[in-house]
Amino acid sequence: MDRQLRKGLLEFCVLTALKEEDSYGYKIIEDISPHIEISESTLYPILRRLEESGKVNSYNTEYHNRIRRYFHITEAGTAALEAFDKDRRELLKVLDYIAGGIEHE
Amino acid sequence: MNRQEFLKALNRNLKNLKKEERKKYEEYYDEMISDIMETGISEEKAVKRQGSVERIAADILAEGGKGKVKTRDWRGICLVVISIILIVSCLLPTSFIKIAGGNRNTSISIIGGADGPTSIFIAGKVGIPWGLYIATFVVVLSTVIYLVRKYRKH
Repeated sequence: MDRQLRKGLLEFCVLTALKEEDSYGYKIIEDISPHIEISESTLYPILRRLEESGKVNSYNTEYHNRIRRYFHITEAGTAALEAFDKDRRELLKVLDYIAGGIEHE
Repeated sequence: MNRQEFLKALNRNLKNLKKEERKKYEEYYDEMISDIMETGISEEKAVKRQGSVERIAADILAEGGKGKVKTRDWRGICLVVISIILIVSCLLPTSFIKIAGGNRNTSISIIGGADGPTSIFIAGKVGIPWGLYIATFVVVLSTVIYLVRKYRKH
């Protein structure tokens, strides 16, 4: 998938992964990777961005004598996810338009 | 490459970032490698999975300018310092000429300006120190142009 496009979608994928319960880096990747390509090095900048924009926050917990950082979706994050759902119709229309352009070539 | 080497190399490649910022990335990758190893994968393989350190660092640096340490602009500093020295010597022409070498027939040589096109070399007989004035003018002008260009970029 196109890099820019994927980057945009990944934010929402991460929010989706956090919707049910708080999660940590490795688990987020495990949850998302069946649906979209993601690597360790792409996840972190996304988490940072989400945290800076207040859509998630994070806290440390101890796990097996080491620190594990958990991420938690905020109200703003949930709102962003809901807003995206509303945008879906629009997105599908754009996809149809693009697909139509390819077919007519 | 083992975990320690990987984290060290990452730290080195992120030296333009603030310390606390670097630490966050280090913790993230440390945790990630631990988590991968817990699924039964060897340390070396877990590290390998992260990809090249240079690539990761480049992505991090490209992603956010946040937390970036400002590198000193030595070229700009030099230009400003030279400008100030020249302006001061223009304002105190007599003393400067004395420092530069005594009587009126002495020649002054000034090599000024850090930029290629602005480097000048003036050697002339001193009455009114025209050479000094011209050099000052050129250096101050190039400093101003340099600074204006720099701040427009940001």
